[in-house]
Amino acid sequence: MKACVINFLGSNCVDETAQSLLKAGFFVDIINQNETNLERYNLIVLSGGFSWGDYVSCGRIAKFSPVISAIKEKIKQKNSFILGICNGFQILCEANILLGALLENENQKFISRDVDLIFKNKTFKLPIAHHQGRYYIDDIDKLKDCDLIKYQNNPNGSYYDIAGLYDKKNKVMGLMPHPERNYITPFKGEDGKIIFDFIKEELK
Amino acid sequence: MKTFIYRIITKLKAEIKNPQGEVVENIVKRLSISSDLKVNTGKFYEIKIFDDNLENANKKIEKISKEILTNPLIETFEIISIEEYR
Repeated sequence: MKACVINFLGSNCVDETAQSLLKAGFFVDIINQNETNLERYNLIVLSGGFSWGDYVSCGRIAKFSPVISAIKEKIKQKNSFILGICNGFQILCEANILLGALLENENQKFISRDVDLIFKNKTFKLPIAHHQGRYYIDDIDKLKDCDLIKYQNNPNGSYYDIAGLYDKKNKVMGLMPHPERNYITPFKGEDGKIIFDFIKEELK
Repeated sequence: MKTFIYRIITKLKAEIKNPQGEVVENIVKRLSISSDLKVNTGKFYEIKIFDDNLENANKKIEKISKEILTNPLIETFEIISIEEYR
């Protein structure tokens, strides 16, 4: 299976995300935000970072990139999986590819630490590193078609303890925690594998 | 060609918790300046539009404000002033 990681201007987790995908068994390309041909990719990943310096709001400017239009077209073909990690999740929400929005953390601090999560009855630990990760949705019923990745101890004031969500219909996942960081770093464990294994299952 | 200068404020919707505003409230209370206040925060933009008429310029600024400066799920915008120069 072939994956790509989008290197937006200001993305800074591209290399470790690509390395994780290699470890998970994908062939990986790194592409930039101007790419419009995503035909050859099964998995498209928007990595963490500070696209366009988080100007105006996190992910706000990146949503106007040509690759975002290409992702919207790719989703219609129903033959791929889209993953947004941290800033990637923020971009997907800003682009209305996923529902909701990410607001500044309730405590006004940049939070960088491991958090306990639960997804599909599995508990695991992944690191977060963000200032704008407080998930907001105005009506939880809008997420009835989504599986939720939830914090066990909400660190940032996210509504309904939401750390991430998976839109089953469109096969789009966004999450604030970084699965790649707990996959390729030996002393951090391999809990990130849970996310990559899930993606591989969904692509079968 | 005229120059229209728009001043725009964007802010979080009232129903959304605004931690920055709460931080300002708390420091005001701690300094005993006021014990009864409510603070909301936002962003300020000054945008110059070069166009022949105000109607066209207004349309452009509406589009900019709705699509770039705000996310309608969480934010609102208000045009607080328009200046016109020849």
